[in-house]
Amino acid sequence: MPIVGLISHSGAARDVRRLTSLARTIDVHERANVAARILAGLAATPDVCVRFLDEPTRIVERALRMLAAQARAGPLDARPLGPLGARNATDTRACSAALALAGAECVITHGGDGTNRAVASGWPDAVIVPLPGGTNNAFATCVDPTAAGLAAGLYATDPQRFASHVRGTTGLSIAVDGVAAETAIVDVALVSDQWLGARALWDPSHLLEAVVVGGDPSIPGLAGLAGILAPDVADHPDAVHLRFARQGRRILAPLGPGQLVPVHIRDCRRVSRDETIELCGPGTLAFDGERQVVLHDTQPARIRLAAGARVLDVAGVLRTHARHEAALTIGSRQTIQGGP
Amino acid sequence: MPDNETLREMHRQMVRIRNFEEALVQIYMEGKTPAFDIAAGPVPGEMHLSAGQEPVAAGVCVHLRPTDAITATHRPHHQALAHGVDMKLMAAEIFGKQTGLGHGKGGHMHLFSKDPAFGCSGIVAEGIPTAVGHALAFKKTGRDDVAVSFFGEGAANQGAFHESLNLAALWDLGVVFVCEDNEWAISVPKEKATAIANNSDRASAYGIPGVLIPDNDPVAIYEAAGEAVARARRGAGPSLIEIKTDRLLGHFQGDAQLYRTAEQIDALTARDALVRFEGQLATSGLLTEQQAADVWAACRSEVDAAIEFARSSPLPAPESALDDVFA
Repeated sequence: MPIVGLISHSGAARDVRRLTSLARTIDVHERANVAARILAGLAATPDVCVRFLDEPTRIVERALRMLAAQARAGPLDARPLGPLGARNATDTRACSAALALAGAECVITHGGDGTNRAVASGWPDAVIVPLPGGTNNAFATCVDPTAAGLAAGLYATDPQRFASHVRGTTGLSIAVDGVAAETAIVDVALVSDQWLGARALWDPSHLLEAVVVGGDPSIPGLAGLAGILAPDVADHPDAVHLRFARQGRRILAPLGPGQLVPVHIRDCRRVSRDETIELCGPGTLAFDGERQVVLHDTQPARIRLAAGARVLDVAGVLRTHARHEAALTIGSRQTIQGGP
Repeated sequence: MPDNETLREMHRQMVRIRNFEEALVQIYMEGKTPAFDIAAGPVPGEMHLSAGQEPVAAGVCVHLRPTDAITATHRPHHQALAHGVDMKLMAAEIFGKQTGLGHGKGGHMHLFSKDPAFGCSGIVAEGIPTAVGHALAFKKTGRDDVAVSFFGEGAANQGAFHESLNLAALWDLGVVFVCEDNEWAISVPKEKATAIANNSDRASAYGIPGVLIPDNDPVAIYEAAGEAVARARRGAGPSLIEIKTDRLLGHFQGDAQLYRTAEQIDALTARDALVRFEGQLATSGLLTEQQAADVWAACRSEVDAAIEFARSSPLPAPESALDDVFA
């Protein structure tokens, strides 16, 4: 039976940016509601089973209870997979790897950019259906959870048929001291902090440099800033390298939800596919908006464009399916009309 | 982000608290064995120690000034020390001595100090509305002091918690509500008593910010608390910070902890936040081995002096039994 993964991360959208910006809180009930709507879509596709992240807030178990309370909900084989009581990105990565090992066809995520990075890291060629469930959400796009569940279920039952709706993204590989550390899916920033602390980035005065793929002026975060500074790069598989300053060109940057703050830009340029950007300590490297690696004095990190993640186009899958179903329907009617 | 001096001070404070609590682990059991006799020894009555929860106190209280008011719980030593309550007077109170903060009438769950402003109570959730009262007084008198209420995850199921958040939000009071979630309400695991997974979710019900700190990290706590205290001080209203922390010891000293396994207890010790923080400071070049040893030795001396002061102080005179008490 085809397997669809479901990873809903209870730690996303809860950090200090609730205090420093107008970031919303996504509580466990809301996450369970989204998961239930995903499961409703999956339940509508025949012979698909679900394997989900076993995390301490029991999001999917709550969702299954919500679904069971709906009289019309059908049965669904849904069970946890991966580390018990998963709490952090390492556990998310392990769950993602376990999904790959189990032969899952795709994985639906409800979390922020960090969640999607962890999923792509644990299962590099995963087909991801990302629902925005974090603070800035540069990677995921808004889509109805039930439609996402339905599309994931359809894809899982016939991946070849929907293969053209899988899109590869560009990512950023990071090597520290010559050792591969991670692949970011949106951005890598060097900030002046010497500690990981609350991990999130919110103070523009701490920004030193950033490398960003997929800049988009319509979303908050460094991707939004890159989209403003280099509006033509978003449509290309290139990245943007930003260097910040204490004075100079002043830009109003959308660093977080409701957080338009002035930043000074020393320079901004396009980075091509064969180029390597070196970021040097002291400072901390943040991947996709989360402080992850402390760089000591002159310690170098090298950033290169790389394959990012593979994303399923929900609307594309549903359109293809609808066209096919419509053709069948019309064909049936014609058969009936022209029958003996 | 704390500067280097602040990081060292937070570490010193955590070491100071740990030394105080470890000293009490030994002293408390004096005279109470072989059969555990809670009324015997130099420190009679229950004893709830905060080893493992030092990051909460160090990360929050470093942002406070003495006129900011703290209300704490039955497990109050870490916050009292971090807020600057005199260690000798506090130790004397814990020993029930006449020289103590409450002249020996309160004991370890009832430590009160006017300067710095600190109070605690053995009644679960009692301090939450009290903090709202402090903040209301600050607002009425035009002071920019803030009130910080520390409470456990069990207290967040009490009506007092909800009433307090409601009024603080309604009146835009400068309160920082800090939920210390150590997963255990005495012997009851949170999942058996609480319908929701994260108490910070409850902030949304009152329209105030709720932040979750998942890993008992003093720097993460420092960053969130700094923003929350600044928000309260500038009159922007209350906020709720939920910190997943670790209670390394039992609910009380003498607690056999039959409700959790040896493996669970070992896992807590293995991730001791103080050890982890000290290692991070060393890696960052902020604390040499010798400096760390000096901090531990200095804190040990301070604790020894406080304990000696408490031991050598007189008990309250019997004829003073009705002094310093309300009822």
